[in-house]
Amino acid sequence: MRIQFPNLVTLAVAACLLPAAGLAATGPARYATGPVPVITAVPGQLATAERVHLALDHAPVAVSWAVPATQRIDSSPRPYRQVSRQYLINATGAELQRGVDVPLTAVGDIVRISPLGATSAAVDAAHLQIESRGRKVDATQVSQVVASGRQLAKAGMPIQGGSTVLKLGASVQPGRVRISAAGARGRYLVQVYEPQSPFALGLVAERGNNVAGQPVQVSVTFVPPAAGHATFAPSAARANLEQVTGVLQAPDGWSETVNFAPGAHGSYVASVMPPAAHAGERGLWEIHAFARGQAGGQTVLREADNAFAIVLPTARFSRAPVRAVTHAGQGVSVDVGVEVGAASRYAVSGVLYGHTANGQLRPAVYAQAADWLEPGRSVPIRLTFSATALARSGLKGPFELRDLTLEDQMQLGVLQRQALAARGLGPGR
Amino acid sequence: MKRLWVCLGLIVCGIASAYATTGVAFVHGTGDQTDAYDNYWQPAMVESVREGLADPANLLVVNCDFTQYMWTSGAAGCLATQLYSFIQARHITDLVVITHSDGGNVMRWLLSNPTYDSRYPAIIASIRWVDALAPSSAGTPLADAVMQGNVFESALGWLLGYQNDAVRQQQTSWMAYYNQNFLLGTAGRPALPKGFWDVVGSNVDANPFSSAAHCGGYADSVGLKITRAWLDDCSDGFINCSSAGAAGQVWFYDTQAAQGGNVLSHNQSRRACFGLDVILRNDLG
Repeated sequence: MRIQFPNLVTLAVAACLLPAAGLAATGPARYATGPVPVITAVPGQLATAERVHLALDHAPVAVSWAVPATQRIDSSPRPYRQVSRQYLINATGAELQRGVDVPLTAVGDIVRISPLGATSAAVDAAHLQIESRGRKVDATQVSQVVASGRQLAKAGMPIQGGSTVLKLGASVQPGRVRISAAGARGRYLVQVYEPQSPFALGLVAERGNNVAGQPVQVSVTFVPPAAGHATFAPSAARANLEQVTGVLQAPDGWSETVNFAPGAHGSYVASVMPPAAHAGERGLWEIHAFARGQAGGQTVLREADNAFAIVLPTARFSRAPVRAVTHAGQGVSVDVGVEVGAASRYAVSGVLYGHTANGQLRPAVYAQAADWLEPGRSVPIRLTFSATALARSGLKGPFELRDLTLEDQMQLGVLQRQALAARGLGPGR
Repeated sequence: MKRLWVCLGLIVCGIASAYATTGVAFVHGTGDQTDAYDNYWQPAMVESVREGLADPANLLVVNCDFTQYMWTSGAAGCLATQLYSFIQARHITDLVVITHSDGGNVMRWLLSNPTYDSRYPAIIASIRWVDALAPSSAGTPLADAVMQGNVFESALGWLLGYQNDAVRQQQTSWMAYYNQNFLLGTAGRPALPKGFWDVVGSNVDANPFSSAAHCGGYADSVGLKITRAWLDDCSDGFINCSSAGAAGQVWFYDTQAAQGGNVLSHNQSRRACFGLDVILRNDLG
């Protein structure tokens, strides 16, 4: 029966969660390996071609250096959650002349109006008006700060010329506010940033590293207000999502609409399927979520962006990746088997853990090795943990090989990452 | 003081250190530079640091295209080419690299991926340490804000403002990914092969009546009142202190070492402001 290979990170996490004793019992006597995490878009098959073709170095390189024994190394990091208090509205010049509604949930908001494209007219702050609670006034009268795009660029925020940015004063209270601009012509982006709002949208993908053609779960939810954030109505500080749409964008510019559906605990979730035809480019994929919610009868709008990687499964660790261990002098060399589907430069890295004098396991040496590999039979890449680095660490065997990672340096993708790869390496104490 | 052990190590090396050939390389931040000496660092900064070298010729001001992603041939590849040529031509065995802003990310890419290019190990071996001035190691919320909305416009071939791949890469979500996967030296990741010492700016003096605000050119005080809304209380006006100190080790915060306890804005941390140049120069010894 053909083994069904789950994806990379699931297995990496699984390996991490497996009890150490179980790992030790599954391998050969001298060095034991845990279950081998394997990735593949089609189970059992590797991608046979790279998407990008660059003139990479073909020379083998291997290095190692000591790492502080006190360091905590996380082999299965949690995906990054992006938190946003911003949103966007696209408007035509005609709409902006009539007035665009921007729901506000806090005081002190920042509103930026930027013309899009060469034919759109610049926005003159003197022609902006703000209508709030039935009162329409010049924007400059109710703004603490009025800045141009040029002034923001000089302050380190390079937005385009023709933009106008307002920091609204305390007289502009939360609620529905209408912004209009006489003379608006063309297309505009209205960006609202609410730094004092209690309503922040969190967006997270289930994994940072993913394989093309396999689903990636993304979820959005309002995150609890951080301490110190003012609320316009404390009793209504909890917001509920009502609608979430999104866009998935590949590094090559391809994009598609994403539909979110209600999930658990007030979240909205979507399963996106990055197509292999757009995978393998260098750079990250981005997910953009546009959310509308309600809080105490008030509309809350938010946009959040996050990034993750999609790789073509061009190689994987061999079924028993730690093939041979040698001890030259006081150093340790480990041959790591790699099955190759597409010719590329592949790198293997790992951290050798050793024992302190009182028997505590600590990180000792980091090693990285790379070589140009052609498709075909499984070939090893040798990680060499030098005697000098090991001596510098002061740690003794038996050693463990952890955070074993396989990277494709052509597409700059992490193909596999294994929390614990081998135990019982090297001489005992 | 934190480098005392390193200095002692060099002394213990005895003969080897006695014959070390020290050099300095300045690595600029975001931008496509062709004359970083004049336009990015300015002569007062470079020439002041040069005074700390036994051989004043052993100084390199890197010029590369850091509008690109850090891993490209125009960024890390260009940096490696210039560093490698410099090391070879001047027989440098003790290189101090001074980076600013995104230059720290490009340098950290090289340090973290030594097997990407067979020249990298020789470069790394020659490095004593990196002085990372205001590195954007965890990105900046300003890049997030600037990039927002581009998903609509990129399909139409428009870009909002000054966006380029380097700005895209300095979004907080992108740097979080790369810090977890391809870059070393942040929390939870193996240490870098060489020291990466952060200089952290903690505030901006934008008062036009303050002489401190003048050094390095006035930051736009009106613009700063807006951009600060995206940043933490502790920031240099472009990146948060938490980002500047995210990789390697914090060498010092501006107020701990700058003359008069002044702060160093993001612009000032690449200029000869409040004795920063002297600190860097004295550190070469």
